[in-house]
Amino acid sequence: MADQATFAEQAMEYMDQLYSAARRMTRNAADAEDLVQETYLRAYRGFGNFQQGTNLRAWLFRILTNAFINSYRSKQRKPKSVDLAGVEDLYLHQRLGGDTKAALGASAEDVLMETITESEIIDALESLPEEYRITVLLADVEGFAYKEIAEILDVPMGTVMSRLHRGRKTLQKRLLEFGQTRGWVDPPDPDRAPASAGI
Amino acid sequence: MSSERQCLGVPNQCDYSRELITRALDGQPTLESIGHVRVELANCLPCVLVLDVEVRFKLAMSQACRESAPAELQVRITETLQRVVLDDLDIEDF
Repeated sequence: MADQATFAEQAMEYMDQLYSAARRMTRNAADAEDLVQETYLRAYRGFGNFQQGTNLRAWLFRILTNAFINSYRSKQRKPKSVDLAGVEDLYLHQRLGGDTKAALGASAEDVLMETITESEIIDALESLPEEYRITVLLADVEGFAYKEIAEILDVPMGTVMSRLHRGRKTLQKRLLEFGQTRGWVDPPDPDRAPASAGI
Repeated sequence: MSSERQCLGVPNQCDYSRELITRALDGQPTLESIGHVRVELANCLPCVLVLDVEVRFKLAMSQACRESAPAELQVRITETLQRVVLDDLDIEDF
């Protein structure tokens, strides 16, 4: 059992991480602030039941995610669930081909990744359907392991891996589109059959 | 069976390399954990290239999405928590 009097000193250090995640979930600064505040109040209320020595950060993210899904999001129009199963199983390096690759040399991927702006990456992430966006966020931004994400989202680990795989591929597709507009990336080959997206 | 654990040299059609790359990206990769997977994929240049790009992609995502909470929010939450303790307010009221 945790001592509620120590909640602030233990939990406040995670505010920047929780706020970053809330920004990407809500896509809005004011809503993100409300969501983080609600998360801390819910966590404070439940801190007496938190088992000291377990993962406080994951526990806070679970509260944040639940607050977003169950409380905050209910104020908005509930988004339709979107299945990305049909997304092409592409890899960035496979589309950096031909003259582009020759011109840029071995560091073509470096050039693409370094030239994509942070706002383009954020736009791409925020364009993902909600369940994919949250999963990618927890894995690639917050660095949670698949098992932790499964516990935070209360879904099977296979679902986490599937959402993550498809979410990442969709994100990479968005970034490739930015690259195509700049002429670094070969346009899609209409004759190339998409590979399986399963993981 | 060992034949099931061989890299086919085609990253998006190879379960073996995909599993290794997925493992390398799990959680917060370290140079050591990535290096270990690179060694396992050493005979397949396309797979190593995929691994490197995926790692760079993950790092770029992480860096782009980091934001500090506004100072006002930190103050507001701290003060609210202090008030909850001092006044024994019902949190449902918030």
